[in-house]
Amino acid sequence: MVRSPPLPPDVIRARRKLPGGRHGPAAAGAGGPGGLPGCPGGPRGGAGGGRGPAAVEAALREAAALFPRRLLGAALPALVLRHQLYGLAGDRTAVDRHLNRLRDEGRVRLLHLGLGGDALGVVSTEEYAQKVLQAVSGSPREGLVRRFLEGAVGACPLPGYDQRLLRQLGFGDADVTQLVAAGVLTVRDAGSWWLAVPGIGRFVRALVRGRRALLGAVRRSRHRELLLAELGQRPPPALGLRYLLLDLLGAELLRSVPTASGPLLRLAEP
Amino acid sequence: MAGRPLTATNGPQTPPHSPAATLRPAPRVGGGHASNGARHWRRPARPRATPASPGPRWRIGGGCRRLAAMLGFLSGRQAGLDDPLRLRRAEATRRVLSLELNKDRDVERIHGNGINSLDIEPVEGRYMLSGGSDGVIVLYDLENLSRKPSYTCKALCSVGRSHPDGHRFSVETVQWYPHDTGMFTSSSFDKTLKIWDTNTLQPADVFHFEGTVYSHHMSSVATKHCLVAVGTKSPKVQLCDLKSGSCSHILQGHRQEILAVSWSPRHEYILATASADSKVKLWDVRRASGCLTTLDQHNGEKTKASSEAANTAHNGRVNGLCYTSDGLHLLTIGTDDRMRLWNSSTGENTLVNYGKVRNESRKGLKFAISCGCNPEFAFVPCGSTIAVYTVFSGELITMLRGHYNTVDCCVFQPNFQELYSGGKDCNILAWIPALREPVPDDVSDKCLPQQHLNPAYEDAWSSTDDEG
Repeated sequence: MVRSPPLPPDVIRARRKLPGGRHGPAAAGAGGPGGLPGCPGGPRGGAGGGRGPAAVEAALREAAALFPRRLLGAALPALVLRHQLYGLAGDRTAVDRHLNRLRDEGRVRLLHLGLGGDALGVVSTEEYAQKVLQAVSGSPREGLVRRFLEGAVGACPLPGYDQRLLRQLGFGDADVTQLVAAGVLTVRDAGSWWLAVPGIGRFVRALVRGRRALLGAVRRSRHRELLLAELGQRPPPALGLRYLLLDLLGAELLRSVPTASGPLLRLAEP
Repeated sequence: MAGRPLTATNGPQTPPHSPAATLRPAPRVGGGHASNGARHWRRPARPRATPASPGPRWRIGGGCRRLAAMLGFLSGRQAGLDDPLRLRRAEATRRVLSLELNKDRDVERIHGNGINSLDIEPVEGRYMLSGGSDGVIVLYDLENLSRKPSYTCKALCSVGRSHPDGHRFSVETVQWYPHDTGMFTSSSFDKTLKIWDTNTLQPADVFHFEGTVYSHHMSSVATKHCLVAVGTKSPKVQLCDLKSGSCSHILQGHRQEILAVSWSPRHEYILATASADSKVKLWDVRRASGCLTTLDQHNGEKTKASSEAANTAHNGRVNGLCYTSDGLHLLTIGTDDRMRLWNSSTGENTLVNYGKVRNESRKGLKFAISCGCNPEFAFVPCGSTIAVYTVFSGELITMLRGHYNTVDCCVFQPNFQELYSGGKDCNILAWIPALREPVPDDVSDKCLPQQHLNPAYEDAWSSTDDEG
């Protein structure tokens, strides 16, 4: 006797799930095999079935918990990449909208990390301010950085600043040079800067190395696909296997296919 | 100037179409008529044997419950509790969600080279035009009058390479005259736009341009004008007037070639154009002073973009444009592998995230949006598959696989919820909603399939032996 899987709420819209599912490893990591054999797909997202803001908040907390504090020390705030949340919370549009709402309320900041056009990092504002002040404490720039955090960062929720805006907020060219030297601003263009985290270089390097290693492992395998279990047998990457997998699946560089032996990771078509 | 529409005397004999027959009659349920389904419904005896589907045993429970929901809609409609459109929308949505290739439906293969454009006439939804890379234009009849389930859509006529006035290079866009089937327009890489009379298959008029023509479109709601918007290699959008036979005006504003144009289905003077300079502009053609808005993907947040990329709709060439059927939203697709949904009255990016929509096409991509379903679906050609997305939530529903090579165009038939797609493999595939199998009756034996017995095992007993 086969137990039929739960029907979606609107019965007449029984959807045919994607054969190559968009499940992150959260479904596998939550325990048990990746879906019953033959079952078209389990419930989406490891953070619970809901799709609204609650699911996004839970995904944010879960992803923040995955950030490797031990490795990167206490110097960096818990950084989550926005596309990691797509895999955890399921609905991309809901994640985007909720993050924009949080950004407008001032509870999180979206930062450019230098990984490519759409890759944004999400940090909570208080933790960001705390870590930045901790990084510059003791140096002569501390006062300036504090003024910048209270004035510019609090006032404007965008990830980038241009010269005119900074001048309006009371920061001249010399101040901007000091801020860039402190690592709080990164040069983007002549006269425009991204907001940055001091010391982010180690994280970005570890992320790029981990991505390259994982993708190389999948590419070198015979059919350009690897079971999650096999990946687990290799030495774990610096940032944590789950963090990197969420990143690669969210950025759509890898695709996860549920199989009888667990999720299978396949290179997304170039 | 419009020729006679294709009527019963020209085409095959057809019964007059009644407006009520826009939906195919619902399949019989349990031996009773659909209208009396509440009384005659019986539990289906046997599960459907569909070996291709992922979980056959799952379908028993789902099928029964779907039938029950369907009958709930029917009885609600009958009693006047529900809006009449609700049943229609629910059934249309269910049909679109079950689109698949069907061995019983085929489209005759005429093209020898890739198919660039398909268009179904909006009047009856019966005739389809296709334009190919070999310069051939073919007209198909999609209606099944053979009374057999297995049907090949026949090509009624074609404008081939041997036609003296045919196009010499690839036909990029074909479109029916929106008000009747007596006329159609086609534009091609040979720098012409030709207006054809369907019955005689002669061009009634030809417009010549300086650059290759990528796309053209004629408004389906226009009553006060007969303008065809043409997007060519030049950055100026040309508007050709069919009544006077000349290019009446030019819209300036883009900086590179125009890859797609589309009139709004809501306002007859609003035109959207997409260009290789990453910009999408909305125009009111009555205004002399320029475009209404340029769509901005960042919604005015200037510091998010670098200074050169201000007011761009995409970070690459904008390949395709499609309005939703009510004209309130506009979908654009670009070579930055993104699809964006815009509010067409304010020009605001609704920020619906469709993920990575693979787009490798160098020229325009023709995609379709469903019409009459509850969550509207967008059918986007992605490589050799067609991706089906819900328009307003950005969810990927399924990928339709069947073509052997890149898919270039697809078109949705709203009356029967069918999708026709054409691509570089020279095939036009018809995606039909999966039909429910007729449910066998418990009581009567007539529905049971007669087993074919080997004559050696047949019982040869006959009552005449006793008497003989």
